[in-house]
Amino acid sequence: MTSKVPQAGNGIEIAHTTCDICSPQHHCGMNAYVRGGRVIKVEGWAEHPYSRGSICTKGAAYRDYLYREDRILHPLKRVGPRGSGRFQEISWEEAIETVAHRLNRIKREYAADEVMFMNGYGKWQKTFLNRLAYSFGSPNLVGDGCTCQTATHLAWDANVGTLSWPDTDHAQVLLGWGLNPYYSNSPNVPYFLRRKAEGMKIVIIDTRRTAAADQLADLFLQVRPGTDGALALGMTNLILERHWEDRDYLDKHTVGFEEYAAYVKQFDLRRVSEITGVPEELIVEATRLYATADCAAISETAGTLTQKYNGFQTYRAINCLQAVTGNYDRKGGCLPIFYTYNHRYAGYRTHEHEFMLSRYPHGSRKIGNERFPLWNTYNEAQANELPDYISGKKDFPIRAIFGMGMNYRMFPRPEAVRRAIVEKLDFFALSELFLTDTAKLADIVLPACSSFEREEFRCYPNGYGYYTAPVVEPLGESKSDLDILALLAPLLDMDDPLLQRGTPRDWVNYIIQDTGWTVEELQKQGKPVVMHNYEPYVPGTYTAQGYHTPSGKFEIASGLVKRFSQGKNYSLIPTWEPPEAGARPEEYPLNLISGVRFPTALNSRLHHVAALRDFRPEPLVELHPETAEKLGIRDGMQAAIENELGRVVMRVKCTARVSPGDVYAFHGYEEADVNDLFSSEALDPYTGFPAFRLTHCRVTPANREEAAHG
Amino acid sequence: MDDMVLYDAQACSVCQACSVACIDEKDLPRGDGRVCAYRTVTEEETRTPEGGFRFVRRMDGCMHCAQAPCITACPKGCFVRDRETGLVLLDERACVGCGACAKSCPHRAIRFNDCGKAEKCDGCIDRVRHGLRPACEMICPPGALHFHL
Repeated sequence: MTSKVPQAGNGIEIAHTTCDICSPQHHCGMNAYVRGGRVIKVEGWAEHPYSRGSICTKGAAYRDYLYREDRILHPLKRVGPRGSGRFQEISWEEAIETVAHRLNRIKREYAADEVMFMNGYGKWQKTFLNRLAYSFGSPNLVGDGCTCQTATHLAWDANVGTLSWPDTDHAQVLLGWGLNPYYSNSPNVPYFLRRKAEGMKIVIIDTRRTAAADQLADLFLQVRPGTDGALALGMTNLILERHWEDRDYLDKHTVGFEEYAAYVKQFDLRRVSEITGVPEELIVEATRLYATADCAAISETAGTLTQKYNGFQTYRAINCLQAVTGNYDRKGGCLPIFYTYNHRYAGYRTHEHEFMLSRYPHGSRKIGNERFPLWNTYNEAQANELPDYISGKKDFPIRAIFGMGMNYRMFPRPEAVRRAIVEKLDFFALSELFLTDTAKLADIVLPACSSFEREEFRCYPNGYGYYTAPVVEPLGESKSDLDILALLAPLLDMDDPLLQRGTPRDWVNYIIQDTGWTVEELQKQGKPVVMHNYEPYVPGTYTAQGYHTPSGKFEIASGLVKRFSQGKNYSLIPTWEPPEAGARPEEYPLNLISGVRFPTALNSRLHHVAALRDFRPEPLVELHPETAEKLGIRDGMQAAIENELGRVVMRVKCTARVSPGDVYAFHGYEEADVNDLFSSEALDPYTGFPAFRLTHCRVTPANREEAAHG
Repeated sequence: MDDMVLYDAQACSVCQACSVACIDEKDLPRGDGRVCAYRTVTEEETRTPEGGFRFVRRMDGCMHCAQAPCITACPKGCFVRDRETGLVLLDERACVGCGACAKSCPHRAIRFNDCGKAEKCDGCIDRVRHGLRPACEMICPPGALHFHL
């Protein structure tokens, strides 16, 4: 074992960079230990203003991510039938010319909006792919947000006109609704523990007894899946019964309160306890703690709450607690945020919004807008019905896809998406780091590189901006996503001088022009520094200005929903109805939940990272020991999970961290993709989100042979 | 004298970051479905007499014990306490693979490699001698792991 500590003569250097494995809302600071052009170790970067030296389990395996065996090293052209995975190496020139030629031809012969652009992990390229799609003339820029975060935007937009965020620095009480930083955001665990030590009370509401429930929570409410909205309505009712509401805020700054107050009366304590499974006294105590604090905030986890039949309504009901208690836009409550860059709020303005949207092709056709009209208010497209668009069953067809980091397994019924791509699409090009199952479907594959191999601009809270430098050379012929766009843009049939004649540095310089920095100066700093136009938000400013809603107020009854409610069975106020009227409980008596996090995985992104996969070599399904016993299943056995849409076989892990009757199956495995059991028809009527966090199933023992072929 | 390694099972979330950091620091084998970290955590669930469930977490790996039984169990004297740091170190050159150390260890810290030689955590002594902290301690998000160094 040779030393990895940098010393004179051993050639090891520590270089700073960021981890880009998960969402750009994190991208923690990393130290890369480099020797001879290879990374030999990673650790947290102590001076980084966001992550403060912490990295998570996933980040610790960055070396295996960077050097994964299936990294794509050269541009590839498909030579076998689509989906066969047979490719031939080609030059960058041939690859880019082919992509440009095919996209231009569709624009010329059909229409630009019949080309879809899709942004996936690592998401950092989103800003620029948006611009390219819009300049090309297609509004069909699809993000992973159509199953992940966009529903939270739509819900907050309906209430107050912008996304909002808990002011956990100052809150006395935090409702952590689905919050479990231990498994999704562990660099912030020390922060939450410090705030807890400083006296912030934490209420965790979750369907599972998580690490946060055990270690962060002063109170833990274990709700039944799909009943969070009923709990929020019940808490609202209780607040009004006990006169804990903020009458002054309600009178001056809200609309729809009277109607809402009348509606929530039906959610009395006993009924809410019956619906949610939470004991009455716990509901009362949590509500008292939250509503009687001087200031209280709510952290609302995105997918957990929105990937349900009633996600939008649930999210709005929780948001409205902030209005009823007067905790919206005040110190220690929830504060409005206005993105600085790349889906992150850092307290300063950039020109990103204008950079992305100034070329938006108004008047063209956008995927999903017809069935989910709230998406008219959001620039991206809702593509959960993608197979129908590709197959020409909708008002217009999608003929080609240009994806960056796209993963078809993020959609409900991924097998249907795969089949549509294989059988019906005219052309599919993808830039990716790895030869994923999605990349194997592409006609042209462009090798992308990781954050360790590129330079990029990042922003962090409290005014920080950072321009990274590569710590190692890109592997093979791989390139930064932006360099790929810079090659493609000049060949596309469009007129965008900045994108077509400028370099990626010119694009970023345009975006950060008001920050007092240029890319060149910023990169020389070698670390995140505070931008000159940083202006800390002063709580109450947004309220004083009037919110960006039709009434200028917190809309408990939403004018935005009203605007798009024609022909729709929409409610202007948040409501709760029981789940799945059409389910057949005698056949499928159990709740099936997908999408849950565990610390060594991120969706399917890390299933092939060796150091992480070893912790859980096989797909697992979690059952309560009592449920398993009733089904004649023991811990470690193989079990079949099935409903009317499909069947997968996984190994059973019995755990009392889940409730009896709930089945948690982990997603994204090519050998057993549970998302095939989630409908692409039964979507949240407001947001189009799939119900990954709640459908129905049955579970039966499966034999070993089946498991091997399952 | 206390054991060198303090593990707070109540604070641990079984996120496995300590194990992955160990694998990364020590270039341990990976990819065959077994975790080869020198430090691992697991959680077991047991039923309480009242019918509820208890979650018990444990850490396996060298605690660099105050009274290290491996030091006396090894017939070849492979285990020594480092005077400077207090860490229990293993010099496997004389190891004959008899297994006495592993049998004596209450923390399942010792295993045998393909050559039949004992292996265990060395407390990242190379880092420690340069004023750095062990990799597993450094990464632990809730600070559930601490070396008295």
